Amino acid sequence: MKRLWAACLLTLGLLLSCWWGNQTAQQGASQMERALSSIEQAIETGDLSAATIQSEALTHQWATWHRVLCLFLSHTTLEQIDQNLAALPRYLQQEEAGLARATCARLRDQSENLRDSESILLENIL
Amino acid sequence: MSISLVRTCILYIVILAGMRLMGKRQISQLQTSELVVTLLISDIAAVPMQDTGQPLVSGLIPIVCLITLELFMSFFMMKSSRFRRLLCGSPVVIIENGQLRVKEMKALRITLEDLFEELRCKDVFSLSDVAFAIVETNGTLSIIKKPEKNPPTAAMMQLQNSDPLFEAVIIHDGSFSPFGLSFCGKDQAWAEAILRRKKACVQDVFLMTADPGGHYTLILKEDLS
Repeated sequence: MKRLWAACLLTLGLLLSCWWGNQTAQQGASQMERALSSIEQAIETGDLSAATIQSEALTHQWATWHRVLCLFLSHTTLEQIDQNLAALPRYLQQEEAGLARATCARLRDQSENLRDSESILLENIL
Repeated sequence: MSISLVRTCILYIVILAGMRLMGKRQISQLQTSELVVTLLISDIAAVPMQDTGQPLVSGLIPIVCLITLELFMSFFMMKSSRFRRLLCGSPVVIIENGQLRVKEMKALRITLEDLFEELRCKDVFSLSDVAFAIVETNGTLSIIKKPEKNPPTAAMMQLQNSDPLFEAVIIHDGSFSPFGLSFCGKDQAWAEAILRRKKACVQDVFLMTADPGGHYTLILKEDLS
């Protein structure tokens, strides 16, 4: 009977950790997408200095999410986002709007993958 | 490198705790579900140990999930014999009264060579000696010999049975074994009295065994050198 209780507790722990992982990935991806939209808008209006400040803020914010996300997501996936985020403020500082837009698009795509990676979707299961 | 080292230690402790939680069944003769779980756990644990790019949790979650499923499965198997039969199957008689049951053997894909090897391992050298041979759900072969082929027992010979006497370790490498002492119904004072007579103390003892009848064997450390 003790083992059955242990199994119940373990199941609860498993479900909670899976739910937490899913929520964290969803939140991280949503916040990143919002920040990217704002950066893209600033680039479109030609306000590259505002876009630079926002991209640096996003890089700092990402460092916090990374610490949590690396607990359950492949480190390779997260490192690709790290690399793109490191390049974005530099492109904006150099006024390379085209490269910055391309990097934003890449980051948007990666954040979508991040959101989907922990979702219980048929594509992920199969 | 150091990440792999720490992860290996963590996974070792988790798997050890998991096997302990799954109980003694898991480390004895394996049933189908237990075999699957044991194989999968060993395989899954290897991935985060070697690949530091994978989070440790990605290995821990499936391991804990398998342990949990196994615990639930064993609980349901205990509660429902139908469920147990569904998962583990039923024992199959392949020899009855010295006669082979070829149909059952074919269904189990057991060759005559395999069968006779098993029989020899169990000290049976003639098919006619066997009353029943049963393939158990864990794959082992149980053999029941014909009564006239069994060695006589004390009961058959109408001999007076005395209490079974067996030795238990009561002192090992200078320390008392409470389990051994209670097993043979003795206490520390009894052992210390013997040691006093032998002019030795507990620390001098390499091994001391005793049976409920009070017979003992004493090996001192100085005897070994």
